Amino acid sequence: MAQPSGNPFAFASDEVLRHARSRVVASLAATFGAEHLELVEDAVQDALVSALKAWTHVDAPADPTSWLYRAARNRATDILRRERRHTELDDHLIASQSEDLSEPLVRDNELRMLLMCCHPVLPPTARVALALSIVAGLSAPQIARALLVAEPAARQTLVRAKRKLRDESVELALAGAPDLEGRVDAALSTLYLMFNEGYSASEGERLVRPELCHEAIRMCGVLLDSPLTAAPQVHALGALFFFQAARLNGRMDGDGNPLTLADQDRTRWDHRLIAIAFEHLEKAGTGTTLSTYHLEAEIASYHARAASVDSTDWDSIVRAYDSLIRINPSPIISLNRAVAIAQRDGVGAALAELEALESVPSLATYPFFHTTRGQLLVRAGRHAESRAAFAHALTLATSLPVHRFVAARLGLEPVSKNTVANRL
Amino acid sequence: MPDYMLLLHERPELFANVTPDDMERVIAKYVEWRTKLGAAGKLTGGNKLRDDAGRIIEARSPGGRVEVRDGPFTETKDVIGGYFIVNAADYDEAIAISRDCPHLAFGGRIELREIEIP
Repeated sequence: MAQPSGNPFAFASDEVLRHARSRVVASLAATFGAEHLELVEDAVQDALVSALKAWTHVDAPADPTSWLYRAARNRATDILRRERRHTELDDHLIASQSEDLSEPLVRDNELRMLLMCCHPVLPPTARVALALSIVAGLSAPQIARALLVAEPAARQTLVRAKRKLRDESVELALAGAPDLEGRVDAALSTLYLMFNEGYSASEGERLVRPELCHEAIRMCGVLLDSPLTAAPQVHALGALFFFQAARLNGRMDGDGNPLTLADQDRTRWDHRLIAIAFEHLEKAGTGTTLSTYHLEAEIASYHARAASVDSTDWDSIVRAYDSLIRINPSPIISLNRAVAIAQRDGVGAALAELEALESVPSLATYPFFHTTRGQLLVRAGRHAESRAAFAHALTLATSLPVHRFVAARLGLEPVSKNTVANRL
Repeated sequence: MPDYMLLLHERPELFANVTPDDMERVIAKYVEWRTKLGAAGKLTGGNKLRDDAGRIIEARSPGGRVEVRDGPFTETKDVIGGYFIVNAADYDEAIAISRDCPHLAFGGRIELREIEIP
């Protein structure tokens, strides 16, 4: 029995085991193939249980990942044998596996898993869920909480996604893969979705779920680590993530309520992250492609550079939004452009822009359209109309902090969404 | 001072859905418990038992043919997953130590026996 030592739980930092799990899944799945993904996950789960019981009695090994890898590999082999699915091919697979995990091999496998989870054959939301499960190592209940869906629904999504990957015989090879570029694009849009879900939580009690932002950034790092996938638009997305992440703390007051850009204390922005963002933005400029991520990162960079709302380069921001709308016409982008117009050309011009957008169905039900309009109307001195806009936003808002934000502007103390709505 | 053996009974199904994040919490609790006992010089041994079924060796009748068979499968409701040996003044102290063992907090049962020293 190992005696308790000075630092018996050397890996006690958050997430170490979770990432160890995902690395082991990635390494085994890359060898056994996507069709054996469920078998690999079962084997890794068994290895985790075994590790849990072992490490409660004696100190955990210095390298828990290798321990888990060996235990899970042996377990997977046992399962294959027991299920009489053991073939010569499996023998070959098992023999080809190294005893330990070298860092480059792990990174390569993690990249394969990420691209597999974000494969274009899967629907976008399933990609997010699967990447959170396989690459981030989150459990189904954790994924359900993060994505605000019911637990059975999250499980169902994962099962279907894995079945789809098996049925489509998704290849895990990277080098020379003809569709690599398209798969990287699919991965980027998945990470964008994941980050946004964390950054502007659309429902629930918290405005931001930083764990989702954190995982999206980590997975973006996986793409950037390999010369096969480190394209300029990946750097652009990385830049965007870091600019946004730098503002995570500044976006809320002490009670977790949202703050407008003007009310944010810019000294609370993380300038270390802003510096990293600028590094990525520079590397993003090396290619010939201009992606939406480039433009969004550029817009974020003008905010990061400015000392205040008034000294922000709103003209450049409006022009970046113009380019963005040319590549990706979207009502939400037009809404954001209108906010920039208010700063550059005045409130009247912005309200005229919003009027043109009012009939767009997706904006009519979007609470931030009405809060934006409400704020512009206040600045224009049109208080009665502003009140009506905020009241309308209140009937649409699904996130509790956004509720409090709107209610505060109406001079109300919200108890719950329904009681507030009923009082209006 | 006598030694006491803590036999840790567990129900395998409790672990079925354990997540890595759960594990970190559970292991941290055990490490805290073991470190505290170790620092007080009260922890004298302990190990996890292997997850296989083990073997039962038994004579059919006293003096009869000895049979060897597989032990209880891990699917059964209650298996001994491991043990600790602690040094304590008496049962009261050993019970107090057992009460603090995280095994109980995670749904397990502890069988406590004093080791007889002739």
